[in-house]
Amino acid sequence: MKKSQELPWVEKYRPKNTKEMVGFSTNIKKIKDFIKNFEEQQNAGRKIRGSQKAILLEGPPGIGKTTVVYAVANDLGYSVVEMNASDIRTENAIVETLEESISSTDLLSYLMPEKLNRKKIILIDEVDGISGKSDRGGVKAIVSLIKKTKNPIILTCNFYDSKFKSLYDISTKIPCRSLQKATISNLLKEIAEKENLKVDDEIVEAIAMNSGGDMRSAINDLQALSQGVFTDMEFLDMHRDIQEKIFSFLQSMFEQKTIRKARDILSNIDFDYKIIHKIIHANMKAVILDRKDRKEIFNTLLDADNLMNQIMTRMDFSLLSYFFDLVSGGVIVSVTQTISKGYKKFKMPNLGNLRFRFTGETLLEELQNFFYKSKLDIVNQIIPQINEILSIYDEPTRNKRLVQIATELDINSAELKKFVN
Amino acid sequence: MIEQPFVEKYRPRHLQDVVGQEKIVGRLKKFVADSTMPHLIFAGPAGTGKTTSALALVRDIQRGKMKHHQTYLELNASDARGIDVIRTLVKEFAKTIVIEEIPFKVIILDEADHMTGAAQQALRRTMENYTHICRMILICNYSNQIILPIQSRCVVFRFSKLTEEDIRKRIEYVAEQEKITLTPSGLQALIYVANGDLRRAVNYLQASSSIDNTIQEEIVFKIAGRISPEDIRRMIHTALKGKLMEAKSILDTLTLEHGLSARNLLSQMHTEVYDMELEELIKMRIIRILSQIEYRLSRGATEKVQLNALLAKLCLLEG
Repeated sequence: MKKSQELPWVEKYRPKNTKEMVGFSTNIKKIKDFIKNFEEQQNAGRKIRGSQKAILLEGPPGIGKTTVVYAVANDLGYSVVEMNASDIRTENAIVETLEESISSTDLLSYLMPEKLNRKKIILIDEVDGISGKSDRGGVKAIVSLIKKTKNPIILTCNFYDSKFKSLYDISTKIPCRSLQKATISNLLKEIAEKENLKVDDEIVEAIAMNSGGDMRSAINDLQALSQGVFTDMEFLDMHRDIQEKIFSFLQSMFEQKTIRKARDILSNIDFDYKIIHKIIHANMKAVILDRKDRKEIFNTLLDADNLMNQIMTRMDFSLLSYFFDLVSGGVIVSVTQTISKGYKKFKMPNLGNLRFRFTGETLLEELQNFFYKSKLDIVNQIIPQINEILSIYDEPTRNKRLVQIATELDINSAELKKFVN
Repeated sequence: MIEQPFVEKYRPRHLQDVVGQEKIVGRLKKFVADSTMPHLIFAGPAGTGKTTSALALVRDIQRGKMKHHQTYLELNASDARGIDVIRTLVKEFAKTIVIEEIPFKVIILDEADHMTGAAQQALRRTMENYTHICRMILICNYSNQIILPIQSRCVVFRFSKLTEEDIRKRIEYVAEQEKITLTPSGLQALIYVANGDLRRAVNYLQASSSIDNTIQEEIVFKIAGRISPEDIRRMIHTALKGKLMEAKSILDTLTLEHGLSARNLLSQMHTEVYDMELEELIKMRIIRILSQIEYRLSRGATEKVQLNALLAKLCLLEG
């Protein structure tokens, strides 16, 4: 059997250098500049400023954060010392492992002389995977490592989390956004061509769409499809957008007449069951027109919420079955009058579990009206962008620009100021 | 000699023997034919063949070379697999090269949804870095309990509940092999208590057969801690008619004579309500009453008081 045949495509087509990378263009330059700057400063014997010793790549899974580090290293002739969530990252472990691997030369480089004495980049991958309990002191150790490092350090994470705030503060953040749909579909087409795989453009578009900007999952899906794991139709059915899934769930649930059938629909959903009652709650006004019906349903959802609370706080899963009854059958038996098809424009509930917690809900909502994006997207994409624009300027021009942006977006500048650093 | 549990003795060894799940099994066979597979997530309810399919897949893909801790590693909730185990045992296993002629090693993480978030985080790069020699199968009830970065690295298969027909065939097969006589009502009772969970059905078959080699309905219900559906329905109907004392005497017979626990009784009433001949609105009211009682019992209320209150509430329903 050929080795290459066995390898998953994600590995097979993982870019080796930055020329092969898709997306990321401006960020590649930033990362390269950072490394070059580090080297220059060091060679000149100058003291390097804190924030220029480490950068933090922040972005959703599957967009190439880890890959880009290896690609850049390859371009610039560096080797990478990686530490990720699969390594123990307590204070001692970090100090020992990294110090050892930085000072030592690995065995392989003796076999490949061109790799001997390469300079090293330290990659601390998946910072959000640092466990509070098992990796006690880990964050602190990385902070002190950054302070005294002789090598450029790159950190990656999916989301900001207060547990690594101190890292956040001393590194330069590079927000990495999810990839464009077109970027992904182009890449998929390229791979399909190399693999001699005939696949409809429509399917490629669907895979790209459903990946939600996650290149890795898109490539995995394409390979699964090529191996006959799914047929095209099944794929389309399975990987529908979460919003679409919820929509079709609501649609088919409200069509049911019996508790049993409504409940059966629940067993087929593949989004988080813990939020079903919240989803229905958020869409109540649009769907249920009759006031008495609404009252009944609110009452039902209240009970469901109590049950879920009990289930989650006491891990009492015997109540889960009743929760499912209430949010499905309980809702539909409360409907006595005709309902509107309002769920066609349904709303996602405010789940209150955004990684960033903001006081200014109103500001977010205003930005939502402007960009037509979810709050999470606003937090993860728009705010970082504004931040980036502002970071070019120094005070007081910065403040002036901020007011300008606020006026353009039709929002309160004082509110906006709270959100950007 | 101690008899081996039937569930182990009759656990299908190869993909072709797996009961039900035809679509999924068909695709797994394709992996075997191609000697390759992506990382997988098997999601679905208990007793539908997730672990069995995973093991059968490993056995078929490694073609008889399968050895625990050498060519595959299976960890379930009974094993320690916190973040430390993932970083040591699992990682070591993943990166060790095998000499055996197999396409790759496989790590099966059973009940992966019970792993902590931190432990799942620790899996991410291990999954990627050693894909050339090691693949993973994560088994869980709900795939959404698996963190997103891992889902992004896997293909998800959803197992559905087995049909009555699938369970019937398998039970008949096991009974035949073990020379157990099945009465039609006994078989029906096994299917009823199994509720789509084949493991449960086979376990109850074995337990019942150890009492009497002919499987009778009563024995099955007794062993399963269940009572016949008719008794339950009779009690609910009586209560709904407002005959409190009569319903209570049925309840006493069920709890005292059959030794049924309150929560067991509730769950069985719950199962029955769906298909009783009542208005949907009434069914829902009953379910809500049941959920209240279940909630109170879970907080430590007195069984007897709560059950009597349950009947009283049912009496008040049809006013």
